[in-house]
Amino acid sequence: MELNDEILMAYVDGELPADEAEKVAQRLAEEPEAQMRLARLQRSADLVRYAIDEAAQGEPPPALLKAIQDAPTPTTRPDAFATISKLWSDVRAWMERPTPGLAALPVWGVAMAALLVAGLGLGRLTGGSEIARDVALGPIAPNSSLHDALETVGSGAPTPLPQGDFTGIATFVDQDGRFCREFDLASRGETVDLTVAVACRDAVAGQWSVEFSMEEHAASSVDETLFAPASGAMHEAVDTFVRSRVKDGPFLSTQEKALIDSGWRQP
Amino acid sequence: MDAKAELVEMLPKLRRFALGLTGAPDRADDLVQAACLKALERWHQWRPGTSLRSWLFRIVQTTWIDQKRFDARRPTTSEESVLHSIADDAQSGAPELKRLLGEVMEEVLKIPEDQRVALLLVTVEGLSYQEAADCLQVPIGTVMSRLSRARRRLADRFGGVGLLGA
Repeated sequence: MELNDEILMAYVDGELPADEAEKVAQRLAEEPEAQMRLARLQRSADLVRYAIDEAAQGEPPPALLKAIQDAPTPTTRPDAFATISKLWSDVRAWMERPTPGLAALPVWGVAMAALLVAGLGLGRLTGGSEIARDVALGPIAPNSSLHDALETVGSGAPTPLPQGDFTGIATFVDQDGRFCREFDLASRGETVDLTVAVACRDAVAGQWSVEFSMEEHAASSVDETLFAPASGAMHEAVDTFVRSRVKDGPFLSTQEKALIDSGWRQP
Repeated sequence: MDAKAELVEMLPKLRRFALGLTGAPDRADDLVQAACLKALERWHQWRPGTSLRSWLFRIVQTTWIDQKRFDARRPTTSEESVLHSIADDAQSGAPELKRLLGEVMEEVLKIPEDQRVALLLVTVEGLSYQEAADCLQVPIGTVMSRLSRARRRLADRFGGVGLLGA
């Protein structure tokens, strides 16, 4: 083993497996030159920590604390939490299943879910045919279960539909004055899919139309080149989309219920 | 603990990370505020069982990328602001140490941003390589190479300086 800088850094950072760390320690005892380099790395790292701490010391400004206190308190949605975290543990279990060849790769964490995008003008990231299979962009058939769910199911708890579990995330008014709903659809087939979508309602026709839809699913093989970090990017994208559209909201669950009960009439 | 209390508890770390990104205390606090509001808005997207800290750092970092995109007019001379804030309370410690820490900070802010972010997450905030990789959504090897470039640069310049001997 050569004691290069990368090994020394991993050693300092406690990132080496115990047996390798021990080997490094033994080699260090025999190599004064490597000890010097190690000391330089450690000293400069200490200085960086010290300098940034020094620069960043002081209490948070009152305006920052006030902004946090004044922000709407996040709604806790235990059922949806359970669904999503169950979903993700399934994805992980699937990805961590023993596969020849996979063991030789470094640990890539959750980055092996392929990310497929539709809408937003981003175009298709892949040539695959599965894009937004569950939630296609455009009008939703008025006699479909998704239409019914959007019309009648409040946000927060998952409701089973033929395509998967529907969970309303948030309801808001867009810049055209339409009611819009962000929702998740989690389905489990050969792969585990999670779709995040936004649909808006035409007040006159009572017609919901999908304006944003993004799906991620477990990739079918590690050789695919589509690996993109999944949920973070997906949530960033829907976040950006909602921000660009939202005029008012999101509604509190009581307001949303009143809307649902009134058949989505303008208050 | 509720979401707001968790955020407030994380504020010192978030502000320190933001300062390392922006190089200026005012900008850092603006960034942290925007990121905290975004985190509260999107709290349901945090997956329990995963690191809240990494999730929040990620939000700070992506918010910073957004802010820079829409705010290209500010030149990157912001490290002066940090140096002033260190110089301001120079009377509280040895002047040579303050000057040294100012120089270190100046050098840190000159490191290309992708390398600097890896340095901030691992060396300053103590994330593991894997946590940093998840946070930045890059392979772990990328984190290691960025980190090593940043660390080598700092070791070359400041590795011979002992804190006590400053």
